[in-house]
Amino acid sequence: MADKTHIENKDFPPCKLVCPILTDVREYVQLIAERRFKEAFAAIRKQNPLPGVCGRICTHPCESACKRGQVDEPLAIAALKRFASDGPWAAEYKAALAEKSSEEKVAIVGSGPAGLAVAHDLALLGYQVTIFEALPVLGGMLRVGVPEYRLPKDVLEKEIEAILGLGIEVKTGVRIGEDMKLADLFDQGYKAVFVAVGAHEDRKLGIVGEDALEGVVSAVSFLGQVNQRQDPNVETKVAVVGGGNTAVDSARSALRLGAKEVHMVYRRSQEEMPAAREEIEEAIHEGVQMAYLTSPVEILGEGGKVSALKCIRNELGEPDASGRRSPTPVHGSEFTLDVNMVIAAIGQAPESSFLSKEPGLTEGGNRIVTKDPDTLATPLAGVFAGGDAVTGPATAIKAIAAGKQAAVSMDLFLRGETLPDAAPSTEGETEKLPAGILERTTTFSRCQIQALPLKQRLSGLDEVASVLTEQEAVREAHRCLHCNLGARLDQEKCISCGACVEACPLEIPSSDADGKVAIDIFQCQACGVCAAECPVQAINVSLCPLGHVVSQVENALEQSEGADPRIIGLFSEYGNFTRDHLDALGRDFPQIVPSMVHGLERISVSDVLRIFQLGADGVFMIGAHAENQQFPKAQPLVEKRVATAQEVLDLLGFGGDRLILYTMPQEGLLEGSWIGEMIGRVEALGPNPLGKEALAA
Amino acid sequence: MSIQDLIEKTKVSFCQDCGVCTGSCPVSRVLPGFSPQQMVSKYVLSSDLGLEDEIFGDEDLWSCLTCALCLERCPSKVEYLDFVRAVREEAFKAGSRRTFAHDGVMQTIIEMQRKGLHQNKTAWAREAGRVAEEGEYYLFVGCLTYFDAIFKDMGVSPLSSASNMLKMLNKLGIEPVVSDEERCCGHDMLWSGNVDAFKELASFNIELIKRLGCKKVIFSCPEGYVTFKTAYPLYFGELDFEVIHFYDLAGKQLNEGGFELAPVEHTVTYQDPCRLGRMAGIYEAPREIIESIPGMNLVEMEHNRENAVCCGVSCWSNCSSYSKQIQMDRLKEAQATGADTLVTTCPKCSIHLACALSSSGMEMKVKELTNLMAEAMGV
Repeated sequence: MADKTHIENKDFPPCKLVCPILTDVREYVQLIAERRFKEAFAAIRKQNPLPGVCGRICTHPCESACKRGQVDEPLAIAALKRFASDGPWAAEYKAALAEKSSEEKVAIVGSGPAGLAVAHDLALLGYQVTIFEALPVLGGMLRVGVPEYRLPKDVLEKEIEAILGLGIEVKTGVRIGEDMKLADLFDQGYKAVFVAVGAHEDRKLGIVGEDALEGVVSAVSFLGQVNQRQDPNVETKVAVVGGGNTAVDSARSALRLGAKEVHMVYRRSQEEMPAAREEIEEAIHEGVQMAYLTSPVEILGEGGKVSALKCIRNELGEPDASGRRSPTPVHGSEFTLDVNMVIAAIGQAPESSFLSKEPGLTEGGNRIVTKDPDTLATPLAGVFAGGDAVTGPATAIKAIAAGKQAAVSMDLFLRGETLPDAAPSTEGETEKLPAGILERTTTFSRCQIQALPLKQRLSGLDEVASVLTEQEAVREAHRCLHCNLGARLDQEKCISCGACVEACPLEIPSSDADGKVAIDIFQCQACGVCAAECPVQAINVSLCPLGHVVSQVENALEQSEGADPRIIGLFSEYGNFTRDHLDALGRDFPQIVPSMVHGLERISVSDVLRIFQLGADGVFMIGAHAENQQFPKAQPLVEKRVATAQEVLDLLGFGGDRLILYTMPQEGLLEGSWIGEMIGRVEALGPNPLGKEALAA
Repeated sequence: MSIQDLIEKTKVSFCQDCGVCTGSCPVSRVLPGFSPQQMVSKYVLSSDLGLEDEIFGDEDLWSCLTCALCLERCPSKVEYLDFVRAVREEAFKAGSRRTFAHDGVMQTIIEMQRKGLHQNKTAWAREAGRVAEEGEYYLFVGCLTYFDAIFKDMGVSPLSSASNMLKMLNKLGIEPVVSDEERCCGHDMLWSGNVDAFKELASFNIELIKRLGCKKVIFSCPEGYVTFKTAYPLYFGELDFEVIHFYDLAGKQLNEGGFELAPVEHTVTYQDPCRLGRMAGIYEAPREIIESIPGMNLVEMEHNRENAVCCGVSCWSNCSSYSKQIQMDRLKEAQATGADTLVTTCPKCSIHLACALSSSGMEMKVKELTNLMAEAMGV
């Protein structure tokens, strides 16, 4: 939920800041990086009741904001979300219900993303929720607007089922406004109502032939038919007018349903097209022909049917109110497109029949109005509204955000408390990284999402994009730059010794003429090498705070009573290994107590000694293979610390040979021979000289 | 012991609120709000009100360097250091901990020595000179080997100081016993309130020397020396061996012509370590040694002997920007003498001042006296 105090918190990473529901992207990306997929799903799901949906169709403003995009390409955040949501672990998720349920009833009008989100959140708060849906199916535009090849029905259904499983009542086929008025809901004992009826009415093209000819359809009804498996009577040659996602969806659907030729007619150039970039690219790839800078003038007919679309070319003039350059027709540039079907997709609005029956919601306009955009309260007492019906056609994530926001408002309203103040806008551009940082950052290419071959795509409605494999997802998650989880310097502690300045592989810390050190957290990628190097612990890296590695090992040791000898394996999470590798290690080598670390750069000499103090007989420090190393320049410091720790272990009589530094193979955690080597060394040196005492302490 | 009792025992109740302690305190000069005098009145008040938890949670308790400068000047002879040490002991029992520097690596090394380890820390001695399995003399090396491993990048060499000392002892015909079983003297544990750890380490050492039958124990580290000399008897009664500081021994030998010294041209100034100076009263021996080296020009800093200023950190704890300020002030004082070398007789002073020096841009060296002597003796 858009919590004001959090938004003002500059600690937010760009991805979170721009997400309408402030998704904690870093959290689940990091969990994927650590191969903790079930927890990654839980992290997403607790905030977002439609993770599989968003993993597929979200417009992911987070990716546009992603700092990695300045280095090479943004993190494939949506693909990672889908990976976390598609796995078998997702079924194990249990929502945390309120301890006490309330007797109060709330009604939700509409079951699109906004309605589902508000229903979910209010049900979790313990309210008795009923959803009223005009259509026979749930999901709103997700169901009847988004084509299956982008969002398979079973994915949506599974997520809706999980939401309904919280004890939500559903009444489909009930059209509020017609079958029942909003006021009736209050008479039936509902104490608050959320109206999220969406924008299901297409704007008219307003050109000759539109109403008279057979073969002219609105995109909403066209997609509605496609998505409800009704035959939309697709002709061989189709023109889709419009440049938004609905237009692209219509064009790509038409191709799949038998059209031989599909043209998209858009009045501006590709650059101004509001549809998602990748959607446009896919459409072109599938064979959709683009007529940019083109406006329809008239639909021509023969025998009552569409025979052609007469168009005119445009040129772009001065920017209009929307900031986009406005198209001006070029005199004499008329031409005709030989088509026998025209799909109008130039924008949608809430259904006028609904608005006319509930005039209190609109104040005469063609959308529902809210008194306050932050509380989503309408002029009618107890009635809240959100989603496309209020904003006009927007994204699923914005609708979910509205639903979540409304849930908070409605809860406060029902408890008789004051509604909250404005939540500041979260839109904006990510600050630019300095050129030096871009240069010094190791690049890793973005994952390639496997797509269905063209032939298979066009013969049905199968999902085009594949889910990432475990290896791909983990590797992608490792591309995260850990914005704002990096080094924070405590000036009071800092002794201006310059150790961090020397150590940083990205050369971020700087020291002024007076020796005052500054570390720009915006640039920092949280390798942690400085924190382990700082003599006074003036630096804390929140991704891996001081002492974290040792407490991790402590936990791992507690869970491995039987291991003898006890060999601690500190594995860099950046290696190319899977859960299977980890499981196999546990099975084949019970002596190894594995502990995954955020890279060896974070481990201090003291950490290593403390691990021996905990009773380890041997310690492996296993760094990622050179190909996967994020901070190769920090490697000499890691080696130096290992050498120092070995020297101290020798002096203490432990034997420095008990500590070995290795680099992981290209794939997998370790070479089997290493274990024999270590066991040999431990046998030669004897058990940890601190013995069992160490464990007791 | 209750704080009330400690107040009585350490004569804290004699405090006249004159503020001389705070005026003298190097920490008070740099750390806003830190004042030994106010600490005393605050603790007395908290104790009267039964608010001991507030005392234990007070960060100032751990900020005191225990450098003993205030003690030197207190007109009422309040035993402030004993008071701080005793309150720390109570605070430690109550779970309060100080902030370790270097990620607590030295504390970990010390803690590990509480257990039944057989260390391997005397190999250097066999390489550097002649040592005996048993005999009259025992050379207490303490933590120098560990310091060397951890701080070798600092441009100081704690172990070379030990090697040089051994070579000089050999020259005097002394072949001391060194032992892998020796533990840390316990100084840092004692001054950090961890008295149990101190006692364990101390009894290890006392038993060891007893077992070896040595009668004279030689130290170069002022902390080891003062801990054996004053703290061990406090907890374990009179020791059946003599505790000797190397500089006392070397000083006497110099007077008697036991050493031949080649000229070394340097202008040096001398940093009195608090443990050797104010706590052990050894001020002149190191100076006499320096002055006996031909070519050596000793110039005094403004604050010297009883008035010398601490190196800024104690017990590898609570190092911060304030410590650095103390160190920089001291280095500037040293620089003002025109000396090219700052000589110390404490490995920790040497490490701390070298650390501050490394980022100061000053053209000065920090050197331990043993190394300077070795240079003059050509060992």
